[in-house]
Amino acid sequence: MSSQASWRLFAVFSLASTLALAVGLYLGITDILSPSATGEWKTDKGTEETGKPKVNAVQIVALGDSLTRGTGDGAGLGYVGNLRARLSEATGQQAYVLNHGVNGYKTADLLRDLQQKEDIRRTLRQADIVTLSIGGNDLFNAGGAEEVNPEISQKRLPGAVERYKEIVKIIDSLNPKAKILYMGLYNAFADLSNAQESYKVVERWNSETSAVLYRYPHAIFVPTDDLFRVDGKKYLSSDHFHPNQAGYRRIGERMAEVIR
Amino acid sequence: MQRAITLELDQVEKIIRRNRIIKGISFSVQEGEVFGFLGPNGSGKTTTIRMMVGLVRPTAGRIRVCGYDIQKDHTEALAKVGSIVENPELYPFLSGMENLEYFARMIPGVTREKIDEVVRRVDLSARIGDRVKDYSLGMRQRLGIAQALLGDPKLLILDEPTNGLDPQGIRELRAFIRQLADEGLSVFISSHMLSEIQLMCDRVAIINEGSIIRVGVVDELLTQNFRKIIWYANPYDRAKSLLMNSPFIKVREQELVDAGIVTEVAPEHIPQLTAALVDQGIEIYGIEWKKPSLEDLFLDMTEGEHHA
Amino acid sequence: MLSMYGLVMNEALKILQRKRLWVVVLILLVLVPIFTYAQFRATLDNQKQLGTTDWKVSVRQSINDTTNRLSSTRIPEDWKKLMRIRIQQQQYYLDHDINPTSPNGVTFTRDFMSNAVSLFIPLLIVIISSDIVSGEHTGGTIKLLLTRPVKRWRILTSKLIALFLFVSAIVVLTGIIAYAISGVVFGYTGWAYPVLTGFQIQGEEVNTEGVHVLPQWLYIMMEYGLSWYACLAVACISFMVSVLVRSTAAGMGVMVSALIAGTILTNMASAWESAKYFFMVNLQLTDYLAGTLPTIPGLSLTFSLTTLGIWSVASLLVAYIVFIRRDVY
Repeated sequence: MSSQASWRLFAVFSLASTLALAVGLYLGITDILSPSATGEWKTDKGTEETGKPKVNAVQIVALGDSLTRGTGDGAGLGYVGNLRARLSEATGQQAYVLNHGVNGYKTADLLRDLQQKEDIRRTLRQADIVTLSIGGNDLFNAGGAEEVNPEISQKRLPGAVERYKEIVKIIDSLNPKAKILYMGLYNAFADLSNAQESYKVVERWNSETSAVLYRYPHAIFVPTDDLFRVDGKKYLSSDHFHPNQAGYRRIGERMAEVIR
Repeated sequence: MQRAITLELDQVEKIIRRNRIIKGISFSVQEGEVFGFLGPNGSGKTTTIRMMVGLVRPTAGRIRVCGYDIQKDHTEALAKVGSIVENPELYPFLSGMENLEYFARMIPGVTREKIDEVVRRVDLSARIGDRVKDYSLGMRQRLGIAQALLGDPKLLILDEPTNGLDPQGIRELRAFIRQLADEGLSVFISSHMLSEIQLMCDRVAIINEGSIIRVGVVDELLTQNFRKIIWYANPYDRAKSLLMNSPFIKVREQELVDAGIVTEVAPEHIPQLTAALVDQGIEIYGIEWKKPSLEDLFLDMTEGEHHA
Repeated sequence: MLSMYGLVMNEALKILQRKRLWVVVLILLVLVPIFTYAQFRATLDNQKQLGTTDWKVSVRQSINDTTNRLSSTRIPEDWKKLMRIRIQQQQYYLDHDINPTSPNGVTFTRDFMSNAVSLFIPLLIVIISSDIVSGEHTGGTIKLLLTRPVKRWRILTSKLIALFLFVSAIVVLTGIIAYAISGVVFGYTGWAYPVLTGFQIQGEEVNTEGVHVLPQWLYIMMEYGLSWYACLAVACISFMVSVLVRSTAAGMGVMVSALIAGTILTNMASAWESAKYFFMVNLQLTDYLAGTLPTIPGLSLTFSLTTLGIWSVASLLVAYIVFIRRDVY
């Protein structure tokens, strides 16, 4: 190409570019400085549900608090990750996890999500397995550096159980076919002076929530308290509250056993 | 014969970091002459040329080209000047023709015909489409001159134009410059080589350490102060002592040429001295009128500076 | 004016003949496929993790992840603020059924610019601009250039105009190349896809009152226009450096380190408010369109535009004064 021709091509191209960019700049500035809430709402309904990519797959939806999240697990799996690994191993099927766990969640938080967040509700409808861990924060964590006080825990317990009932009910109504695995509470405070009182709280919670689950054919209470009874410290992470890698693995293994 | 003045320097001075690089120089160049600008490296030649083409601004004084002040009427003045400052550095990644087209766009009124004409004049038609990076130094020099002639200048400034040229190239350049001057162009040539100036220039300005030490017609400067005669005589020693004792003559012992005795003497005393030598029985083989070279001249002038 | 046309043509031809623009295009042609592949892998990986191609699930997961990180005590408060705002925006996208990262070539083109505006594109500009004046010194051609019967300011102006033309060309070429290459993988649709804009950040809250929908093509036009402004500022500053520093390599070094310092500063200096007066931290103009929290407190569109404008004008002023007055040896 001759230099004249390349210049002409370049000049036309860059002048057109300059013009378009200048218009874009002007529009951009006015749009940012004085945003007007107008314009058509075209929503993405068209591509809405594609669902599970493979028929032969297990969809796990995990709900709950930091235990669901896997806090304390050095391997980053949590009981959900362990469960998934065991399931894939045992069945040869691909297992997927949607983890909705949020650190610090209490029954009220989870209940609100289940009532309001449509996307969470939709994932539940497609789930094969729903895992749940909730209640620990209601009973033992009022926020801040508060001492564990079994008396206060006992007072909070009835309200938490009521909300727990509601949670399980919603899950079941959304997806009556999915297996619901509830991870029972364990006593992380066995080495404190008031260990006996905290055991009482854990025991009461576990029996009451277990009773709730018996009303649903697919809901299973997975006890964990026994796993931490003997030499519990071995399975707790450095925060003396969450399980460590080994602890989560034992919980995950047990859950896999239950539904095999 | 009063010819128009194309370039005029008037008390031009340049101070760089408190150093007076150029110490108030003045001279003028006329239409149709080849003007030499002579001085050793570091004498201020290049700075002066850069001031003449507007690259460096003078601290004081004025430079006018065809009456236009290079500072105040920068554009008008430079429109009359074609120049090559130092090496002809053109754009190596462009072809010769693209370079000329490039420069043509920076000078008002240069036509396609004009470009073709200068290419023919410097005899580059065959290679004008090649990239400049493939040119020899001589070809670059010619392209540089073509570029300088594009705007029909009144004044052509060439800085050390024979650098890197072979003898054949130098001869061609010399003829070309003379031809341009005959067409009415003023050509300003700087050089540190006196023989160059001697062969090419009509007039010369000699610069040393930032001052002009002489301006004049080359031929006049050569005959003005020096009357050098070389005597070839036998026996040498007797001839030498006789000449040395003569009141009319000055023997320049440091400049011995072959077996000759170099002297300074006014022409009217030559017959008298010849007769005296013959009287003493000294055989004279030759008396040579030696035209002093510009080297001699320069040596003499700068020596004077040092003694002062 | 006709002579200015010739001068600009001269400058553009010099850059074109040296294939500088092709270097830039080549860099884009090599790097964009890499980014495209990375994006492709990320999408695949996400699907593999979540077992679904439903974008709502991945947005929800992203919200969850961010929410969980919020509870960590080791995260600085400034970052938490950023994360909270991000969560609110993602929630807004979820609530209004708009996929913020719909996988298509147009979205890639949009994301590419917002990622490239503060460093990558400016570096491409520097390739062209760094030797625009200093290159003439290196080659010795400055003497030829300045002994023409043309005023020095006109010569400098012609260089500036040529540079601006190249900036425009590079910004648009970036978009075209990003679209053409990513489209092979993600498809060429998505021009009319809705994008949300108008988030206004007030303290820790996102004000969604002004939020509205733009078709993606319009959003891209605005985004590229804003980036263009940032690039022009970079070009002006680089232009000054090219006038001041006669070695092209040194000039390029100055610009590259300034730009990289900018990205380091935005990561580190969230607590140092005066850092906002540096030009490098103001280049991310696209953030104001996307409505993300400015990395340094006190930044706003008006502030960034003004700061870049002042830097540009000051740079040009210095460039002109030095170039016009300087003795050339």
